Amino acid sequence: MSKNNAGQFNELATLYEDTAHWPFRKEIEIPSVLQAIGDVEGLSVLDFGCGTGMYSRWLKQRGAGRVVGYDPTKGMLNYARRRAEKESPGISFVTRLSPDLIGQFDLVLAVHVLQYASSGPELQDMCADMVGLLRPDGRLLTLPIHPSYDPRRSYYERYGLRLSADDLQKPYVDGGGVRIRLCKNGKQGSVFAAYWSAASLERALGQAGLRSLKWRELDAPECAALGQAPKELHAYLQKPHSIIIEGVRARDPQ
Amino acid sequence: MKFFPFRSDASHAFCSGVSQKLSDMDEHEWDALVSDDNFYNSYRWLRGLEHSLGATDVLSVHGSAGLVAACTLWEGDQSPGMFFLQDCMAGVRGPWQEGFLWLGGRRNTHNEIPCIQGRRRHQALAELGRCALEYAQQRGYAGFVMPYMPYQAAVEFADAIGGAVVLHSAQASLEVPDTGLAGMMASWRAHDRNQTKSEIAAFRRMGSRVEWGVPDELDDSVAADLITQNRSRYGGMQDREWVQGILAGQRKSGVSYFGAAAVSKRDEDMTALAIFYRFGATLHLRYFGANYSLDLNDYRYFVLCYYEPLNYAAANGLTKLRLSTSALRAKVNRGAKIEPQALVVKCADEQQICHSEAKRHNHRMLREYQDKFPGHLSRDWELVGSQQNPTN
Ligand SMILES: C[S@@+](CC[C@H](N)C(=O)[O-])C[C@H]1O[C@@H](n2cnc3c(N)ncnc32)[C@H](O)[C@@H]1O
Repeated sequence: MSKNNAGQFNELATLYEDTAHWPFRKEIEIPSVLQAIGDVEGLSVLDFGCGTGMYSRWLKQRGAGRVVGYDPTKGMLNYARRRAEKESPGISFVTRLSPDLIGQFDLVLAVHVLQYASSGPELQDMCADMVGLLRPDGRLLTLPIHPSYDPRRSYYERYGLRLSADDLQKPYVDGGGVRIRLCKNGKQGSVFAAYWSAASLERALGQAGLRSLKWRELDAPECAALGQAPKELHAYLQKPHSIIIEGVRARDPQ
Repeated sequence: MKFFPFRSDASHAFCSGVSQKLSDMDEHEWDALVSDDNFYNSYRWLRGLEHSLGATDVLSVHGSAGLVAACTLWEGDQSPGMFFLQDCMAGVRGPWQEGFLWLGGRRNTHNEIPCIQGRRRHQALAELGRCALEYAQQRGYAGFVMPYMPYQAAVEFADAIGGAVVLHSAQASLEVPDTGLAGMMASWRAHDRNQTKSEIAAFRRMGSRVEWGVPDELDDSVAADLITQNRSRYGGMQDREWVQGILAGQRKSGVSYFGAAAVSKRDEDMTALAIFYRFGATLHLRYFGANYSLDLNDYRYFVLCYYEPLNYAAANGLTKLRLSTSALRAKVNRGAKIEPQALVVKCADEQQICHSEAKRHNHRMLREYQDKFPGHLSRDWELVGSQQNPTN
């Protein structure tokens, strides 16, 4: 599997961890993901592309059994290790997927990772890795860039996020480059990602052996209706930059 | 929360600065730069020192997304010993009697620069070195040093800043087998195995037993008393209050959360203790103390510092036991490997250190260790050997 895009995260650990407190993640993404995951008591979970380990710590604190965080970027994993050993001991963080992890997990979570596959074969490999870690009937939950995100550069800026497609005229082309920038209080960082259409994502996940695919829009689970969400979140909720895809690993290998 | 403005992508340069105390920095941001082996430069360890001994200046380098390299500063010791520059540099000519700035935690016997990984690591180290030299020059130091670095880390840092690497110490460590002490003994010659068995048997025969606990449960004044007894036996200068102050600082900073204490007892009397810290996959031995008024020949030092921790480490998923820099022979005889430790020095006046002389010194030290500890040297010594030895 290519990890060409992973190295660009080495300097971004603290800024990235900070995003967990930004409204679009804190009020929308994180509660949506946790709601979609449901009860994790006793489950074995692998957090694929775990970054600073924010979700790994949440899952451990919510009663998950075995929790493994995987990320090829050393800078991210260092943050994850240092913080988890103080706040959620017992998580193992790894920089490579060893064969003994294959088929071991009830749940694989991969938040904001699929967009770092920069070609079709890389996307396929990444999906195969994610699904391969699941035991039969195990669940995958992943959040790519939303296939119909708003391509206007300024759209997400008020949330500390800027997405700029390399080709503004054709933002929805498979494998097209998207620069993602994060900015808050004068700190900023940017990474290169790729856009994948719904059809390509479904195909890659399906070929990897995932069944019963479901798409779930992000919402603000604390608020009964969009109208009740804080006003400043409305624009994000109308066009979230990410979406949840969920599925289960088929029993019979393809 | 302020999300604007997005700046242009040109803002990739680093900027460096000096803070007057560690608490100006964010703990998690600092620790994100600290690798598993670099416990003594982790935030809580350094903060513990700050609580006990007072604040020191901190150098930091920031990129556009946050901290990329940093270290605390101090001045070394002014009297002979492990942190006295003239002793560390014995055998290498230079202005070592002058004042030098010391990088790293106070009295650390293992130092690496907390620094980002990846493409810009070299650049971040270089900027930290530039900033350290500027700081040293402004305050009239003859240069700066970072002592007790693993050899590879020293070479990397020296490369980035144009400094010299001088071997000056060595550290013992053990790879912990999954099966702990039993696994370690299985790899030994019969003679060493029997010696260990008889030491453990003697410990038990004397009615001694080991209890593991956390340092927070210890009475600091009792622990400090035992540690001071041991230190003064080996020429240490610090008194009991000093050690007690250090332990109190550790409680306050929260570093004792990582601690594990092995205590040997006879009936209810504490006869000795060893304090370790768990960090990443490593168990670091830091303090040993004993009540020497009890003239027991029960091998409590070896039981508490080698045998028991191997089992403790294996049971807790730890893979390495780090055993500091002293008494290497005794450690080697019980399965330890010896790792080279180097000091990186950068003089304000480049002429004052002769790089080829430093290399000759390193080769001399390599030969000395090869003669003394054949078969017990870690792979890093091969790197020392592969550095060209200038002939004269
Ligand atoms: C935007 S961060 C997300 C971190 C975490 N999942 C979260 O949501 O907080 C993306 C992470 O994906 C990792 N990554 C990039 N390419 C990857 C690959 N090919 N395989 C696994 N992880 C990858 C990066 O190192 C980075 O830490």
